[in-house]
Amino acid sequence: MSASDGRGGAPGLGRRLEAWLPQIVVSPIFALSFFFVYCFIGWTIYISFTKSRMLPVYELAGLLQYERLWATPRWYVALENLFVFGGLFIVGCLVIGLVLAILLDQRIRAEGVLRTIYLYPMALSFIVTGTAWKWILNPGLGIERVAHGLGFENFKFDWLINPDMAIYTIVIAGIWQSSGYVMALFLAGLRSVDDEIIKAAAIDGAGPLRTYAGIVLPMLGPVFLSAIIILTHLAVKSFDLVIALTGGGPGYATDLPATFMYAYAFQRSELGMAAASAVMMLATIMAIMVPYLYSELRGGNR
Amino acid sequence: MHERRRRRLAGAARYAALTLIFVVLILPLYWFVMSSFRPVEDIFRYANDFGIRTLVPTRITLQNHIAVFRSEFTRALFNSLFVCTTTVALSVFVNSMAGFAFAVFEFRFKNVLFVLVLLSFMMPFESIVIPLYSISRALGLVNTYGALILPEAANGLVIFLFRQFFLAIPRDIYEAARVDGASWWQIYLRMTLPLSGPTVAAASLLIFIHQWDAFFWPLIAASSPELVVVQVAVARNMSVDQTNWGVLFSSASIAVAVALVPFLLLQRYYVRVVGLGRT
Repeated sequence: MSASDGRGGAPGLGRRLEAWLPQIVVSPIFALSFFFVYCFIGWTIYISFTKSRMLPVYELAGLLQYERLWATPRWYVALENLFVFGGLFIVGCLVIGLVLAILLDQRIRAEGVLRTIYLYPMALSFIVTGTAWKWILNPGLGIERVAHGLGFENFKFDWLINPDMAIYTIVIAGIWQSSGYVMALFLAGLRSVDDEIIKAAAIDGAGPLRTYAGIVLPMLGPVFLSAIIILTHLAVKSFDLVIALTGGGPGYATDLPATFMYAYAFQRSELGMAAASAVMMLATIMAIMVPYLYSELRGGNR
Repeated sequence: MHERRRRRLAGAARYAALTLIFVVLILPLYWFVMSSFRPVEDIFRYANDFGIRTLVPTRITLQNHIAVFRSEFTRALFNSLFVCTTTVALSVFVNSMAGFAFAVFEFRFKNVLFVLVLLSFMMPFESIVIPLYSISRALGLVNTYGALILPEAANGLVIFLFRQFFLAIPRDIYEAARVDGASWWQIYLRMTLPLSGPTVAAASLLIFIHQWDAFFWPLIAASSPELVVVQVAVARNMSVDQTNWGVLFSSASIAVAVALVPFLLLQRYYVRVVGLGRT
């Protein structure tokens, strides 16, 4: 195509089209995000105020669904699990990711290879991770059996089938999968810290621990924030991991709001209640995202 | 002297820690893939008397893989590959154009629109899934490829990556090309897009993995056997009461192997573009 085609035919129309080009290019994306996301969120919120069961109905019923939701013991289990899982998952990933990053930051050989290995769980789906850990943690087949074989006859590890402990198996699998990514985030942050500062601290007699705790970590503030945002997002939507690892069980001991919502919307035909639970999830995400975005946007335009 | 010994000790500790983590990360995958090549009756046999045979198979067979390829999994592989490549092509095109527009053009409400678009991709999927399913059903999209591809076409992170890249190109270049009579379309297609190779690579990886790993939405929107995707097929292999571990392991290994190909080819671009480090 030469530079003159497409403009020779109707210059008037071409000019006018060009003047509108920004709007033309942006509008499909905007329409998609606006329609698919904001309208649908509005729709979900609306449904949460109706009596919808199997099919959406549009007659308002006030806070009925929210009252039903908060009267359901299973919802409390799901919420409690979200806080237990979310808290341990985020803290675990941050600690392990940070320690790994500090270790890797010390000019280590074969760094590229190591980083690839730490990042590779990124290519695994939560379904596959869940499958692997379902086996490893299975009392009859996994590490418990290996430990028995090694002579530790009394070794017992039944978290997967123990309603009180099952949620922690999801924490383990989640941390295993996600801490490598957090490590990469921190490593990039550590690399941007000026070496001179660390050297100056060493000259002033600060040990490595004090250097990191007192000087380097405070400089990683923005990295902590973005890591927490990414991990929060993963924690809220860890539907796949729960389905693969425990299926929400034993009973509904490992239900999370996402699996709760799925069960009520698509298995129990309780659209209204499912929508109410989705609105609660949205509110949780917004409570974390909005302050972050506000601080990001105030900090600069980029 | 003291300083040197301490440093050497620290070095040893560091490598020990890295090795331990290496084992923790690699072992589950290794065990998993290796077991898929074992006859079913051998899979759990050597866990009891732990030894070299636990980790190195004595008998190798392809029976699990053959069983997998004879099942619906072949269909799932085809479906997922088709959905992923189509989504990558469509999504790179649409999102790079949007990124270009947000970086280069000036128009009213640009910043507000950009924030709204970005924010829309941070909303939990659960809060839109009920209407999305209702609409898809009303439009007859349930159990079609369209239902799997179209909702994933727009991606906020990809728009963001492209915008950042296009912002870094000096504006003078665009102005000069405009003076020479190039249309915006030509500038986008023949000047900036070819420059953005690493961003295209990183975005493609991101979209491919995202779509390859998709589970929740396909589970709802594409439940028919003809449209089953890989993750759903893997999950189905274990949801039955009597899990056939051989088939489960080999289907999961294949799911990992396919995702590792673009990951290993493109991860260095991803690492660079997303700002995770130098390559």
